[in-house]
Amino acid sequence: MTDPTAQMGFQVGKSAMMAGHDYVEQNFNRYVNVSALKHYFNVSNSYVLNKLFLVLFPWRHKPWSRQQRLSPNGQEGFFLPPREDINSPDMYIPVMAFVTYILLETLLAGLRGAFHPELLGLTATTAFAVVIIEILGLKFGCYLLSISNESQILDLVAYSGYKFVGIIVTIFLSEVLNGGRGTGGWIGWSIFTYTFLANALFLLRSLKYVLLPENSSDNARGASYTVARAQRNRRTQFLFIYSYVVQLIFMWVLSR
Amino acid sequence: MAQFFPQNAQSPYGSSAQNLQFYPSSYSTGPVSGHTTPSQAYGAYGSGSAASAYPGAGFGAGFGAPPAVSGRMGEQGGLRTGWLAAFGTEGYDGEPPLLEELGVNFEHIKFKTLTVLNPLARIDQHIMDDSDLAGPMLFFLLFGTFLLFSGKVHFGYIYGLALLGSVSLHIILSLMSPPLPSTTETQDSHDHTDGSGSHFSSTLTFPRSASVLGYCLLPLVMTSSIGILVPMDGPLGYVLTTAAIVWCTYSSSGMFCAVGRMKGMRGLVAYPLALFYVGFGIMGIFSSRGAGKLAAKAAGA
Repeated sequence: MTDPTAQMGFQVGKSAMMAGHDYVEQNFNRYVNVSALKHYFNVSNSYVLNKLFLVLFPWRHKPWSRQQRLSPNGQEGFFLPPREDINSPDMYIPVMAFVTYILLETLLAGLRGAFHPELLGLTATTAFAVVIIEILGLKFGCYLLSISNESQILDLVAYSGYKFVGIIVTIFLSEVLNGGRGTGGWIGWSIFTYTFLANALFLLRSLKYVLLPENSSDNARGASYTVARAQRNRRTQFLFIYSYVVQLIFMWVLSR
Repeated sequence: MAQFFPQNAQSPYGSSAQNLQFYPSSYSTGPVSGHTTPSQAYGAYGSGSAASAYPGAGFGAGFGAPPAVSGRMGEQGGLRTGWLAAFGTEGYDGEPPLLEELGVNFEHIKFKTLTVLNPLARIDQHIMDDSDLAGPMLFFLLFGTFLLFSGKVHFGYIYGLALLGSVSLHIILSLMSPPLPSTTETQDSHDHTDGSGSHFSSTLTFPRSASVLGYCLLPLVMTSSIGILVPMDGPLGYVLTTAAIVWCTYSSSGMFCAVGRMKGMRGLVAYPLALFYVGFGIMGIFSSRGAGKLAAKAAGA
């Protein structure tokens, strides 16, 4: 160990390792924006409980706007993370709800006696396909309406994952109350309608602030005001269609 | 990763010649077979000292084989000769013991196991700094062996579930842990040991996650050992497995919150961990003797 050449070899090895590590790190950060993702996972126990309650009972919640923290030079800064703001979207609940939906669907199929190992992959693929189609549709809609913002697409992905919570509640309750006949029958459909309406209202209220920009912070008055008005109408229609029609289709597909 | 890189960094550095040297020269008429003449083919660097400088590289046992490359010229530097020494376990001078080179530290393993087994213990946040995987691998193998004794061979499923689960759990838990403070120039060595940093800027690296998951599997291992004698398909099995899963989840969520410096998130951390351990629990229930009662009941009902 006192051999100086061995020491030098040690140093060379260590710097080679650090160089390799940095290279991989750099290339990884080019594809996945880690700090933006981390913002969505910065949740706490109370946030998750309150948010789940909010998704299922959005009727009486009052302020729906996200809170912002002003950066030191007075401009509009960052949105508060989910830990501190109940209205902020997170990715923990959608991801967990997605996984729970797949496992629950497989479990219920197993209890019904219709289990085969491919069912796990089949359910996962179906749910994944629904998510992908929805995100593509959202991106297309945003492109048409010229709503362009980097982090907003992640927000929209997060919001689209909240419907899995309603779907889980639907299939679980209808299994418990229906005794194995799934979502057919009165009980299943009434629960489905309720969760669908709750989810639609939740999305309407939350996405109002994402898709429709505030008037004051927007362009100037005058001629451009009418342009903004027409665009606002289009966006409102898009929001309405998205919250009701699109969600209805997807929720029905997933809770069959 | 830290275990692998010194090996790779070492081998291009000059031990390629030694590696080529290792196999042929062991059996050539070189100085290896007991002749203690220090012939100086490669007098440049000390392979013996290099071996002791890289604990865990695993080269150590055979690396000093050609004493021709030993840098310590003064002593004979070779193995002792004679029948007794041939069957003994002595090696070269200054060689660290095998377990230390492999990174297996029984004291640490015992300490971490006791921490898992004691649900009331406070978990120190530096407990996983050495992130060893020897204990977890032992526990996974024990789990598979107990399942083997109860009749089903599920080693493949265990490996698959463990790998898939640990990768996905590591991703989501390190995304949930608070980001590391950004490194500045005035970084002292204490911070280096603290935040070695994964790709997701967290104190949870993949070896640490895998290590925590493996250690906390211990209650399920004990339950599967009971499953050798008692069929787990009945109510007793369900109760025991559920209790074991709750215990596993409780201790692993505590450990993850301590190691990942997460606050107020224990329930959120516990949920995916519970899903992971339920997978193993299902493997334990449906593997023990008397499996098939549930399927028979479902078919008959």
